[in-house]
Amino acid sequence: MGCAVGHASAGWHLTSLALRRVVIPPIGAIGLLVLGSCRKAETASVGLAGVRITPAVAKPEFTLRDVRGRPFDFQRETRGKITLLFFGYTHCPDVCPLQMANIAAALKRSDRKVVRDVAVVFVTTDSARDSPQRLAQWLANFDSSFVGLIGTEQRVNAIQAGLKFLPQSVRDGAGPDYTIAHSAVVLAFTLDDSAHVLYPSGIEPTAWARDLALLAGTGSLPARP
Amino acid sequence: MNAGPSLLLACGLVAAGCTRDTVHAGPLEIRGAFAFAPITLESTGAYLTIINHGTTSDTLVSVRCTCARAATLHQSGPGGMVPRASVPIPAGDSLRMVPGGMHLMLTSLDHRAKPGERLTLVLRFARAGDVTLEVPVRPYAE
Repeated sequence: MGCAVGHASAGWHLTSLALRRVVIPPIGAIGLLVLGSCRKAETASVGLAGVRITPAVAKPEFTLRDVRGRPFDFQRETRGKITLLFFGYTHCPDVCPLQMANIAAALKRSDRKVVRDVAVVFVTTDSARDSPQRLAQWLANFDSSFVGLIGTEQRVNAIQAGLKFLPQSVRDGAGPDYTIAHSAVVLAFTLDDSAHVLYPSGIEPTAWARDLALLAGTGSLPARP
Repeated sequence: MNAGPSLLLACGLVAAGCTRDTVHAGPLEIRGAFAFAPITLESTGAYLTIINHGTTSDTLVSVRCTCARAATLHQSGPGGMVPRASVPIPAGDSLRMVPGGMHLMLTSLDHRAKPGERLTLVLRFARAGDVTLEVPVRPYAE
């Protein structure tokens, strides 16, 4: 029973990680997403740079505060958009800014229609340090249209748990310089309210742009060529 | 064996003969170093590759940057970012740092370095001693 075995090594399989057109993501980046169920991840064989996940992840239902303090109903506010969801924190030196920068660079080179059809939502896993103002400023370094959401640690962890993300926001270290374990991947929800594809860090802007155009163009997973 | 600084000096003096981004310190070759232009003053990531051409193991024991209060080695992985006190580089082996994997986390920065700037990193090895690098700064994405 491959699926039940070893949550540590993921009940989740990476088959043929031959991401030819992108930088091969470090395994650690993908390993951070552990899906509890019998879920499979493989190179999207539909011409996407992202990694295909089967079965798809359902779009979660949650409401958190945005950086202006208003409630943001994730499902309602992102309806009709290709929605990129990421959990991270602004003190993160590595994966978080890399993901946001690559997506922002991709959108800068995308058609206006694609830009209009894509929503990027960043949920902080560090509500202790990420004040609304700080999160807004940080996101504006990449793209001022990116939505920043803040909730209690418990609430955000519950959302991640619902997505079968592990670990939840685990603090490492005491003092002001602690780091936080979080998932390194971006989930891309399509108009069918499902994520069929995820993106480890290291996807270049050109590959991102191509994928966003494909996802926005079809509203779902593009048909196999 | 503390060839690092003198070699770096040699590179600085004879720029034409040295690739600025590859530094040799005894049997160690350090190449491809770069740091991301920080988004905040709190932290940024730096990356490099160390190749041990020698016949004995060496260990990277610490890193310093004049630009940061602390420079720590981290391994991103399933458990999050795990700090590594020191990393061995066995003879004939290499250590490759990449975004999303092993990286140097520079924290409490003295300024937000811009792309095109260079940061001075000092790597301390158990055998090869201190090696100084001038690390180019690049944006997270272009």
